[in-house]
Amino acid sequence: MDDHRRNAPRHDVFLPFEIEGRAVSSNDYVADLSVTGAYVRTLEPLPLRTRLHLTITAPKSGRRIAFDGEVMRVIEPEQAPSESLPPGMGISFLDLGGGDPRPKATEILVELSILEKERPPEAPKPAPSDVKDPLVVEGLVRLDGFLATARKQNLYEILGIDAATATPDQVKKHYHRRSKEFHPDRYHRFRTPEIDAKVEEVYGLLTKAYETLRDPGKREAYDRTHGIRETLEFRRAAAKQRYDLAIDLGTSGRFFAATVGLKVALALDPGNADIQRKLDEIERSKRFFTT
Amino acid sequence: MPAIGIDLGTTNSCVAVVIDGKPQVIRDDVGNPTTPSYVSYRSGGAIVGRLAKLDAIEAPSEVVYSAKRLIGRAADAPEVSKAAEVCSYQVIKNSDGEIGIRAGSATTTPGDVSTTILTYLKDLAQGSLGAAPTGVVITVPAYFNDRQRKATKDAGERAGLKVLRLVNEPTAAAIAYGFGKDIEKRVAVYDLGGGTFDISVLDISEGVYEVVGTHGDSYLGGVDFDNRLVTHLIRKHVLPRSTVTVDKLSLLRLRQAAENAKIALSTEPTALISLPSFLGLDRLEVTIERGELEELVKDLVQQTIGVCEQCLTHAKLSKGEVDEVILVGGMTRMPMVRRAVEAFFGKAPRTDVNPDEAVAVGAALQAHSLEEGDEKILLLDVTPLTLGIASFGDLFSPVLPKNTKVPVSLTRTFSTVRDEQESVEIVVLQGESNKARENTFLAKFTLTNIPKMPRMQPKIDVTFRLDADGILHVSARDQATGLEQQIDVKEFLDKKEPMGSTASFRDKDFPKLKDAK
Repeated sequence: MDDHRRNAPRHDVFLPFEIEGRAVSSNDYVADLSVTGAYVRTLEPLPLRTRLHLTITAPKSGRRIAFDGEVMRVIEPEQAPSESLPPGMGISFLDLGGGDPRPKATEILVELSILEKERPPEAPKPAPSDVKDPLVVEGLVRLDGFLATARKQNLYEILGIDAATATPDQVKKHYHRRSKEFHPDRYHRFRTPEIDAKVEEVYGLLTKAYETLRDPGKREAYDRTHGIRETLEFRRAAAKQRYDLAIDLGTSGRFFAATVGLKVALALDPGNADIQRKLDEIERSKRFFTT
Repeated sequence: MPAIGIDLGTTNSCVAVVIDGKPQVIRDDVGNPTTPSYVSYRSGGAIVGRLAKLDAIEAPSEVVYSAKRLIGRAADAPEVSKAAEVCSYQVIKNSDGEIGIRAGSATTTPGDVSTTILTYLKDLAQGSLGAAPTGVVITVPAYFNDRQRKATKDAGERAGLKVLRLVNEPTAAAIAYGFGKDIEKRVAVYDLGGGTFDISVLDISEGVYEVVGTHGDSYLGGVDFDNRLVTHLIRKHVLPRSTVTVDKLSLLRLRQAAENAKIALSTEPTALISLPSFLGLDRLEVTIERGELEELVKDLVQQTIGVCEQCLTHAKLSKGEVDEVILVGGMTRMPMVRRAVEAFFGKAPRTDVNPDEAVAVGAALQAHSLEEGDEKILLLDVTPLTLGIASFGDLFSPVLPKNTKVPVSLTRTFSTVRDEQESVEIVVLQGESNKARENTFLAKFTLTNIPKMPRMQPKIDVTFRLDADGILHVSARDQATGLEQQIDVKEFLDKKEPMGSTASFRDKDFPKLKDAK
């Protein structure tokens, strides 16, 4: 889990260079540098085992530093495997009388690291605190998403159940399902103070909804004081209206329209046995029915 | 590197781990799945387990057992003097008011004895797994209060363990029962162990374990059954025949013989107690019949049934609503216990749960779930005891009632009892008595600078917040000024304040409930 967090920062090296006796394209540059060698990015790599004199321009001082080397690896443009390994050639530094290459390479690396430190932070670059475990990011997105809507929802909506029809069993089942997503134990592996606070808020809301709605007395009181009852009554009245209309339609022989009307009525007032009975009747017989 | 589960029992302990998704108990060098919770200080160092229990016969005053009955209790609690009476080691009161233990030349505490046992179990696990466990879930009796829980957690941390969570023993057993089964059931867990009794009712569905009720007695267990038999043997069979004073060594020999006889009587109709050269007798030889033992302990069994009844009442459940009954703890092997449970719930208890190992297995499953993010198990637990504050007139005003889901935050509003009262003392208590002084004291603080007003005018919001780690935070806020004082109960207890009883606080500084709900 650590690898995506602990990766050493990658500095893209971009150093101009020259190779004695060879014209260098302006698109070529030293893309990687260590004390033992360099990777030169070029579309025209030299053959394997070629010995050469390489002069690299140090990035800060502008000094030109010469190395002896040998081509140890060649990646032709047509065989470049990926963006991370572009066409070019790997050169191993040698000491062919020009002196130990390691201190010279170190000088360049030191200059690179000084430049790195001096570089002003790029504007859109995320602050270190934003470099988070993806699990944390994902968790926060889930919690924030829930909170954004839950703060505006009634307790039924918070649990994702229907105020008119939810049975105590459904209240419990939906609380369990929500718990699987939002219980603090689910966030145990990637806890942060921010996660902790949000989980506590979310889970507090869910538990409040559960404790209220599973108790018939508390549920009734909640319905009364939070306009739920009005909503339910409104829905029942609307259902009654559809029902009456459907009966009229049925009486005049328009069975299909009557069926649709009854289905709408039942959706508004799902517990209504009268509507259910009429609907069963008409669907079973496909004939007309008495009022 | 896995996390482990430890059942730290009064008389026996057990450690388990989940490997390749399967829970397994870690056995010791001779293949025992459980370790006697005994520590011997005889050799100068500390020896744990089977060998320590053997040492107890030869050097009873140098071996400590049943430390769980003492952990996290006040030195002057009645349960402590009761335990001290029957212990062969010395229970003393330290200068800081905490319990001390003297075993031979060693001086220790109940917490340190637990640390020693936990260290042994950790090493056992490490030896078996080849690596140090990454974390541990330790189980405690459901009815343990916050002081006992904290003392247990501290003991684990001193043993070098990362304590992920404390889980209630019956809950852990339910997880072990439900694991790998696709069930949707209401299950009662009857857990009668060596020192404690718990009953919990859980609703299990789709891998969710929801505790819907829990109750218990943290001082009722197999040890009390043994004591009954020991007292009986002394009265009926020793005193009439011997004039030698009963000493600690003899008492311990008799206790171990009684324990063995009790265990034997679970499967045999009679058991023989035979102790050579005992208290001036050539040999004490007594045959005990099962019915005899049952007669001696029937009120203890009945006591557990009373606790079951209370549990269902609190949870507003009827016996008929319980689908299954699970038995946990060695004492549930006793046929009389099984009969009583069956008679009470009206159904035969299940016998497919290993009463000695289920708790550790459940703890391991929960540890695995937390550490590996395994989503097959989710535990929804409750507060087993009511939390509240002392209010004027030695009343206990609950803020978080028992069986409240955690984590949780609840507020109640209090006021002053005197005109121009400028401060109130908030004393945090835990328990079920409506008398403040009869509950367990956890922490206290004072809210000052309340503007001068007639009594019962100020509005002081007292909020109790239990976080996901089970740590209680209490705050008091004056609505008029917005001034707030708060306390973290864990930190308060860390400061090792004396265990003090509420009687020593000034009742007249206690607030009074504002809402008469």
